[in-house]
Amino acid sequence: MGEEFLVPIGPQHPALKEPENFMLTVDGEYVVDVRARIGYNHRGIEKAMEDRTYIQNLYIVERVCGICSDSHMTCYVQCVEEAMDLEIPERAEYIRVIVAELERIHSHLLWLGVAAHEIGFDTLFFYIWRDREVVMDLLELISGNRVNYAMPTIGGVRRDITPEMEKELRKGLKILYERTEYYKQICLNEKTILQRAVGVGILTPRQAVELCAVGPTLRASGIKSDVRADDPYIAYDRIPFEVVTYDWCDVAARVMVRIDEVLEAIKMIEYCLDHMPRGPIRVKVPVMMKVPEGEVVSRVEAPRGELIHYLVSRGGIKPYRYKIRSPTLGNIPAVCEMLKGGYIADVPIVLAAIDPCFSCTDRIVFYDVGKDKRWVWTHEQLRRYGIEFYKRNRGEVR
Amino acid sequence: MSVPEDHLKVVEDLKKAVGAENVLEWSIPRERRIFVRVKTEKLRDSVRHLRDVGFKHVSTISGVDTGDGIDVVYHLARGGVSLALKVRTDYEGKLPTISDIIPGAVLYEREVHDLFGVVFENHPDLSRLILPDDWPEGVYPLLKKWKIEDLRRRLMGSG
Repeated sequence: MGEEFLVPIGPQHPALKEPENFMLTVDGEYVVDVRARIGYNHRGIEKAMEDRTYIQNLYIVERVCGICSDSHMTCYVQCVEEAMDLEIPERAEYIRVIVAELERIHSHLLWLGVAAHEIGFDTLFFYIWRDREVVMDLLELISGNRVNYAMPTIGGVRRDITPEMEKELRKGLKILYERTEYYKQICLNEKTILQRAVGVGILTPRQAVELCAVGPTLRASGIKSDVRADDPYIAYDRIPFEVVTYDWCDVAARVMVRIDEVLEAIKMIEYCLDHMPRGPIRVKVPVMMKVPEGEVVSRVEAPRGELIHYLVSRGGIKPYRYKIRSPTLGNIPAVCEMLKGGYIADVPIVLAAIDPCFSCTDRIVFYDVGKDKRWVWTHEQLRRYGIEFYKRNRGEVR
Repeated sequence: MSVPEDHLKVVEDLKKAVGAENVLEWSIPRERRIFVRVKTEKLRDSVRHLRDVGFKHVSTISGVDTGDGIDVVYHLARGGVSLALKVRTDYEGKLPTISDIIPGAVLYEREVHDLFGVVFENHPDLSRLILPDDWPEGVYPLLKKWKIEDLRRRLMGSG
């Protein structure tokens, strides 16, 4: 047992964008303990929503997250619709599913690229992000936007999918399917990935359940749980799909779950296009709409996992209380557990593997408790340290 | 809509486990949604019982300032069934932690502590999670008494 060090990672750039701080206690190359501190990006959205009308809140909710904005929109509009006892046209439900699944594809591909970058496989990163442009173009084609599609609205969706769009969608999806299958083979066979992913960041099924992990993180520990299947919303009860699970419980499993989910999502969109009901896409609601007294719990399977919104209405045009819990918060206790016992060199990829949605820290402070000494590393330095560590110890570790 | 049998059973079993007089109100507005309010002193017994019948997942914990106290709502899930377990506490009141019963609750309790000032007794670490380190003590921003303008003024004032 060597001397223990305290290593704060964050608040900027622990993995992806948005800030967060992890305080790591390390012993030599091993991580012994982890503590998380969040809130660097807290914008007071729940408070702001209490002060705005239901229609104004559409625009706030969409901006909770840049990657899964549609998940928040869907969760919000169905929450308000349930409180108002409002039925939306079936065609709108199918369009909501199509946009939600396109969002899942873009989110998972974005993540896959970032994961490749974290382990120093930048060629793969560039290829994946190039192909991700296909789905970004499709989202832009349907909604007019690359980010914040503004498709769902209270009462339905804002835009229809025309036959011309459908043709483009099918063409794009075919390319995406082929490319994703190719990446699946790479991830299953390429040593560069396997060495950094297999057996890394273990989360046992028991830990995953006890720590209330969500989404691909949970399913990569072999737990079959998906809001789309368990608590179906919009049209998910009418669309056949597999809930993807892997029981390897490591980073490799988290990669495979997301790749297979991209393939599933493509099939689901094609099914929606084949079975799209005709008819209107929305029912009109008044701008100053009132929501009757009551409470509603709304859940959605966002790309990162279970998203839950909770509305308390006391009547009127503004929510009395609106609570949002996004999936990343649900996975933080689990990621702290995954890091324990692992190498410092694995911190970037293990953090990235929950697909966290908080900004990156470009600064990592190492703290030597015994000597009261501090030094600073950037996230980039930590990432390089990880890559160098594996170069130095090729085949020697594990 | 008819109420699914197994949802009713959840409520009936909870009544048997903690005593019918301690289950103050309940409703099943639709399939897969259950709302139950229990007496505050039966919180831990209720959570333990619900976990043992399959509600192992804490989706989140919400605070609601009702105007005469705080409702703390534990959103538990068994597969697709989402159960909201409610208890009432006073402003700056205390509740026992449930993080030893369901470890996944640990951050959600810290969040409610930060934003509503509820103290969770025996919680391993109630330090700030969301609010900044220099946030004024005793200002719990999601309480109704704090208007957005007040918060803005206070924050500007404290630099």
